[in-house]
Amino acid sequence: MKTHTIIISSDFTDAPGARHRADGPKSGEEFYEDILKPNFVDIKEKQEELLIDLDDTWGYASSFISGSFGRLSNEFGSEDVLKYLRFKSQDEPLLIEKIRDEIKKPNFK
Amino acid sequence: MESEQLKQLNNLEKEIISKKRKRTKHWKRQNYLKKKAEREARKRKRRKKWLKSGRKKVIGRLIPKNPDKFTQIKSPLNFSFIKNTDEVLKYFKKCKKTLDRSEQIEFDLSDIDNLSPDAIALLIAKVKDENFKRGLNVRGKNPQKEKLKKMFISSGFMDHVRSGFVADSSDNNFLIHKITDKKVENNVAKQVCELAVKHTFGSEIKFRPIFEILIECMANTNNHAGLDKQGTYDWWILLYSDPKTKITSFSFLDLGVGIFNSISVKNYWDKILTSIRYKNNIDLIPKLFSGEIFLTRTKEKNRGKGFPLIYNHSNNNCIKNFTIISNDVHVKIPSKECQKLKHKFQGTFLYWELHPNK
Repeated sequence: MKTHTIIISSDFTDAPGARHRADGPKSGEEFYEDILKPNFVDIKEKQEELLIDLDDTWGYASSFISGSFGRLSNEFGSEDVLKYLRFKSQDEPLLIEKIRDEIKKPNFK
Repeated sequence: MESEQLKQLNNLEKEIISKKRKRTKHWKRQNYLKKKAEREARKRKRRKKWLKSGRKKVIGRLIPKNPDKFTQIKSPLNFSFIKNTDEVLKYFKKCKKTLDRSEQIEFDLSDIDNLSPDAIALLIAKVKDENFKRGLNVRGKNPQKEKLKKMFISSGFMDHVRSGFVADSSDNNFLIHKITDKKVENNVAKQVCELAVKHTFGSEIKFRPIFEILIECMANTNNHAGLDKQGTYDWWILLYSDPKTKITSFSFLDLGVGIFNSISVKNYWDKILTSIRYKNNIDLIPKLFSGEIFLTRTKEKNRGKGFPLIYNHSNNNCIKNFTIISNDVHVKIPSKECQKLKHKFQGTFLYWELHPNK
């Protein structure tokens, strides 16, 4: 299976913001709409994998995670999201679990 | 005929029992609490309507009684907001009362023995707050002690008030930032973190906890500091890098309604009000840090994770003296050591220090 990669620090920002676009720049919503969703739809169609590289950033607020990954899970279902998405986080290995939890319990409205 | 009379008697008996039951202590208590909750809800509704009407903005600019006169108000000797909270709040209350009498004031810090960056942050935020000043002029009097004077001047306080003093900008361990468009500014957070990490660790590593705390603080102010709408209040951040100890201290504050007066916390109180005897904000602290209270106005279930994240980061070995002051509560984390304040603080204040690795 072919793997595509999104490196958040270089493809988006190394300083992610909060939840909504209205909250301020580089929000979870911005990441979701501009990068995550289009790439996810694409790899799902092609039956490929999407690797999210979470390293080399200043960190992720809880609102950013639910505004992006939580929303993806809410829209496409947690099973599909976990099937096609892979994560890399050498800086903070526990972050992967945190994101997986958010995907498993999508509460975004 | 007899059976009818018996039936009537039974009904009468039941009625008497029911009335007696209603008079019981428990029922009275429940009824009292229910009515109290209803009264408070009505009061909040009225206040919300009043705020929406825009009258809040008509606080009125005052004209000084005597434009050349400044009433001197001596500050507490220990001018530290986190260590001497009640006295500092009492001081600002006194200043506000004087300003409301149309008198210009001078913050007299000349006799102080101790001055901390958190108090300077609060002082600057107050001086720039039009609700506090109401268009009047204020000025500051420097501390006499040389060390404190140097710290006070380098904080840039004088740039914010009317004063003939020119600040020495060459020696500056302070960084003050005020956001007026009330947003989560990721680049400001990044800039602040870069400075702090460079000063404390002497490196350029991306130390995540402080960045994440800052974003959560900004998001909280943006979403919850106002009662009726998002982004009503400005937030302030003051960074102080101690040249000797290499410790960097962060003071983050907004002069909004405060954590315990935010709609979400009030709604939570309404839910449990009928089942408890007394309402005390300190009782909510564990629930706030465990994420049981959803700090949201949009009823999104995934909210309420900001304070748990802040709490988790306060356990980090390099982060020390984490203190939160809001409304009538002063709490230290991670120990959750709480203190009920005599004088209320209208707003939210967070303080923490970044210590070098040992």
